[in-house]
Amino acid sequence: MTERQVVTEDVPTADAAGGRAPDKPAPRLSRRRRLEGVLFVIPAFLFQLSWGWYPLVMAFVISLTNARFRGPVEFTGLESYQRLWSDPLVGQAFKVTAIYAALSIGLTFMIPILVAILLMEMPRRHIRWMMLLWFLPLSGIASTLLFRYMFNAQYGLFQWIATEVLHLPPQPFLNSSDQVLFWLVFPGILFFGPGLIYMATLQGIPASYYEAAEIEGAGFWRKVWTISLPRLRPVISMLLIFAVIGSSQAFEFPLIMTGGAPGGASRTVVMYLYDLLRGLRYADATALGVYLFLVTMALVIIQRRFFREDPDR
Amino acid sequence: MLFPQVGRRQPALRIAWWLVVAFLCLGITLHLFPFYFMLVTSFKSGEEVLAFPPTWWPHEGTLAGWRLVVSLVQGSNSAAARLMDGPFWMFFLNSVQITFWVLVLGIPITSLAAYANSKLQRGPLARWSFLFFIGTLMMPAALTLIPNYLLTRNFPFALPSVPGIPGTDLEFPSVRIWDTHWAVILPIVFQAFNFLLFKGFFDTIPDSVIQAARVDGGSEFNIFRRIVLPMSVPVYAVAIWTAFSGAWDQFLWPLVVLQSPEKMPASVEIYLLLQRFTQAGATNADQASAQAQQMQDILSAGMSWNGLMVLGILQSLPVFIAFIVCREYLLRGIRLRGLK
Amino acid sequence: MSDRDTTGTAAAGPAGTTGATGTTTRRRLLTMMAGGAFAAAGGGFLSACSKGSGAANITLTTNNGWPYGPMPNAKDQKANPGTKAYADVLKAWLDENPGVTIKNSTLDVWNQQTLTTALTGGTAPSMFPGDVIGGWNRANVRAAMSQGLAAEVTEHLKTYKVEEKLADYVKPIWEKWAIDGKFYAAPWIYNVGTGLHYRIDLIRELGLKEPTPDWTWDDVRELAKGLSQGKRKGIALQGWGLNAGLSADGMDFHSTIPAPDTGWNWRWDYTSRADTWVPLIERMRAMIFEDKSVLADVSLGDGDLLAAFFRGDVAMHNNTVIFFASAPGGDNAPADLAKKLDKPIEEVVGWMTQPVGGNGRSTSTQGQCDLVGFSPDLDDEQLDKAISLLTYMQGPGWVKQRTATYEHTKDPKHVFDGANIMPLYKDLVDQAPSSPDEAWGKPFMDQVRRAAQIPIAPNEAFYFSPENNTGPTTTARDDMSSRWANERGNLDLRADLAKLDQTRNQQAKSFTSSRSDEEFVKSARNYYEAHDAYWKANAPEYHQNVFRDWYDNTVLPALKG
Repeated sequence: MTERQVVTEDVPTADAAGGRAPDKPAPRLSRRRRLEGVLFVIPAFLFQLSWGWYPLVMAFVISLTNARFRGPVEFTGLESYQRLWSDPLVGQAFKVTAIYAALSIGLTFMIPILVAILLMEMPRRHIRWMMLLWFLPLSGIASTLLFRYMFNAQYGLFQWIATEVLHLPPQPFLNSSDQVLFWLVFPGILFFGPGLIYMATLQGIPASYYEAAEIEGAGFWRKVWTISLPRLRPVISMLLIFAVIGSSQAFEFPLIMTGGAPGGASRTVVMYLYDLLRGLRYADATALGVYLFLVTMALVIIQRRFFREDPDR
Repeated sequence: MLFPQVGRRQPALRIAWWLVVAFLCLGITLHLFPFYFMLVTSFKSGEEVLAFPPTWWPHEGTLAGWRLVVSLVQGSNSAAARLMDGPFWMFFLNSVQITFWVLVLGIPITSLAAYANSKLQRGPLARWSFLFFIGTLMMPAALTLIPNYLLTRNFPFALPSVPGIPGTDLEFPSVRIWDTHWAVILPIVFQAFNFLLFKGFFDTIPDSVIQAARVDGGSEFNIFRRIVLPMSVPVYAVAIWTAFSGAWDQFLWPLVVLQSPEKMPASVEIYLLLQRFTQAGATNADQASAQAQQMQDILSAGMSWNGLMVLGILQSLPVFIAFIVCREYLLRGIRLRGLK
Repeated sequence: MSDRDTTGTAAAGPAGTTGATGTTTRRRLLTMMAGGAFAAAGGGFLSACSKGSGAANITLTTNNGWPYGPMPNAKDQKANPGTKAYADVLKAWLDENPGVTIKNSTLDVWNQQTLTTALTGGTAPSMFPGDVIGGWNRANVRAAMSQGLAAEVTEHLKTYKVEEKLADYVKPIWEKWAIDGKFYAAPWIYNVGTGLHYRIDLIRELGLKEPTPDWTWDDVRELAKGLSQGKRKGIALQGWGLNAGLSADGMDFHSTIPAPDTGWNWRWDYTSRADTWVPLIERMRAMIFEDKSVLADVSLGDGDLLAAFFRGDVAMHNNTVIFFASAPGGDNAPADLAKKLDKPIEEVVGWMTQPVGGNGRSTSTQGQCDLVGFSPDLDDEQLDKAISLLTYMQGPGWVKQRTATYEHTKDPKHVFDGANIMPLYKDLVDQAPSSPDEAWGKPFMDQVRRAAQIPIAPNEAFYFSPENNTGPTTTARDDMSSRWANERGNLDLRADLAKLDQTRNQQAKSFTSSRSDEEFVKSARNYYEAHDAYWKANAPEYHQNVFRDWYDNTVLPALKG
């Protein structure tokens, strides 16, 4: 707590615009309140323990054995980890996942932020329907269905746009190792979920902040930069964590769309994990999951170092 | 807000403003197009959906897809029976039931924990419990499939069978929730993503507000209920929305822990149909021939992209409704705070 | 497959109701209680197992009517004569086996992961597609069997004289499934394998050469080129179909080499014969990218393929023989296509076994016997009833159901649909009304009968004891297939082959086989000797020019050690 304050105190925040004094260090809570805090956490703690960590630990234990489905189970130590370390396809899968994640975050992460900021500029009576239409979602299974249909190289809509509208030669779309990851990420540009969350946060910024900034002569981008974005920062940070985690675990959509083709160019780590499971290599699959866990964990920690959370602190 | 309140009539500003409007409208059009295409496809004939170039409007509009799905919904004729284990409305009700319990249990439990983590825990405890709550997000679900499944069989033991109490003939007490809706509901009651979401929001509530309430006395729960909750309506709306779509759309897990057809959620049935239709899994000739009949069933029942689109629309309808409702509360919450 | 379309009908509709109201079994009660008890936070009660519920009440669970569904309800029986026929046959069996209930369950039994998960925890249906536990890889299926993922049924098969009843074309394939004389599955359906379906009318119209049993992939290329006109592509090939041109020459067979001195006992060498393989890959790529006569796509499934063939977008496709005999009535079956063109089916669609490779080598069309696996949690009585049901349905039940179907439809195409063209048991076809020839035309059935006569080539899975340790997956090899088929531009194929060697050998390094070197060498000798004999008899030219040299100079030296 104190350490965090030392770090953030000299960082300029929106408080300047808001004109509110930074919080004093909170006094120590009374015993009763701390007890209440424990009570708040207990149900979630139990659920997270029994359905989150316990199975995870079991999975990890399994990764140290030969993981036979039935019959004698033997302890094999780190054999699975060594095996994967020397498997060339593991490296490839991590590379594909990294590119996929980078593309997906690079192409789709900023759009909803920008749109949410711009939507707030619309006249109040229009915000409602525009927001509705911009962020209207589709059931996940329905969108998989739809894109599988539209990406069909033979009768799909995308092929029509390429050949008849843009007058290009028939495009390979998912059939080319250079393009496949882009096209897998592409639907995410149209269907971005978290827009609502940004809207919710933006709505919470007191109008007085902007008014004060305007009086001080701040322009459009300056307001975005000094008020909207800092206020969105905790949310952006959180959603970025989630985007990193989500894209590092990309599985179902690429599996149904390409199955890893061509030549493994779209096979993500989790897809390879699934491949191992199909080869009855349960321990190896678990070990691969642990590797992925470590990499993602490292990314999230790095990311949290860059993004200190709270503009008010 | 970003555009200046005064001097809006300046030409440069007006152009900029209209550019923003144009951008937003273009985005809306692009975004709505897939919905339109889905709807139009559902009215096309089995042959027209495969036509190239694709048609923008059903040339020979037909209700074949809808009729097939209506028969699926009622579970009436035998073509429908070949495709699904029962009337579609039954699966739909199951989905509603599962989703209902996920929300009713999950939202309070998750938000209270996030609140405590944000406002009541300090120092290393806060950091570690934060990691405790979100750490599992980083593990692919495929991995914990088997331990989780065993857990539904012999809760609280993630083992193939319940261990015996040493020295006796008895087994440890255990509970079997497998093949009940609880097996689908309980694992997603606590949602790490929503935890993050709540935590992120509660972090933005200034400590001073809560501190002031503490001075007035009243338990933490009352502070939470009277002060924090009313401020948090928008984030609750968003969280309910994400929990809803997550619970509504899941299909791999229910497939493993449910067995009785009459307990399946709708997403599973649609997924199984899609699998049979596209045969995404057939990687070799042996498999293709064994599954040939499965596919022939679905094709000869007249199921094609048109029928699948109808199912997709049906599956999406509750998502739309949930979205609209949540958005409404999101806006209402803002009015409550009296800002803007 | 015998009754699958009708059973499917029967299974689905009533399942929910019969399952729910008919039997409140102990398991149901337990699960319900368990749900309630959870609220009381683990109120201690023991989770008893519901196994062995007594002679009076035996429940068999099946999946979506696979292989056979529960008794259809009266309404469905009335609505659909096929359902009625199934119900009558099932009733006849149930009368002889009182106390047996068939219950429906839902599980994606075609998905290896969900099925093995369910098998591990004892929740799989009583009967399931046996090949799925090993992902359709015969060696993996046997490994899974020996690991205990399927119940042993040797005695039960004997009780019902299954082996004696099998038709001649099934028997040699079925026998191979024994592991140390024990069976872990029952035969389910038979088909003669894969081949090329082609539009005979278009070929004649364009004056092209019709396929013959000794055709080669060069002929296919020629034909595909000739058939490509306007928007129509000559041939549609899905993932494994594209690979058929390479396996005809035995690319993977010749590149997998025994290596008893390594841990995994196998190594891969695609490079030393690259001169043979590169032209084959180039031919495949030329068909796709130069001739543009192939419809191929990473997401191309059999559904797309059939639809394209029906619509006339492609004139050929490589697929299982079963699709030829799909019952008409939809808009994807060849019979429907013939009806649309108003011609008898033999003048519209033809089917030919896979083209032969260089020097007359061909093993690509091979008869196949799919399996029914049984849950290892079944007790003796349940297994007995399960196999009784199976053998009844495949024997007398088959005849009854086919007869009933004929009486209702008067259409032999509905009687002999799918795998029913070649039933599992001998002497059945004659007992059913009409004949497959009448249904599908003599030319097709002649080809099918000829294909059934193709001797079965030695399969590696059956010469070695089941591998108890897990080994490398074929992912690296599959990657190359999809790369060669989809990637445009100039590929350095030799580099690809070298990379393939390197990846596969690197992967193999970290595995140890459960077979001792001695045992491996012995099995490998038998295996390659069988190949030697097989090729000598069936493709003497290939044996003389290719195999012998490879056998003497590559295989035997490796096995000396």
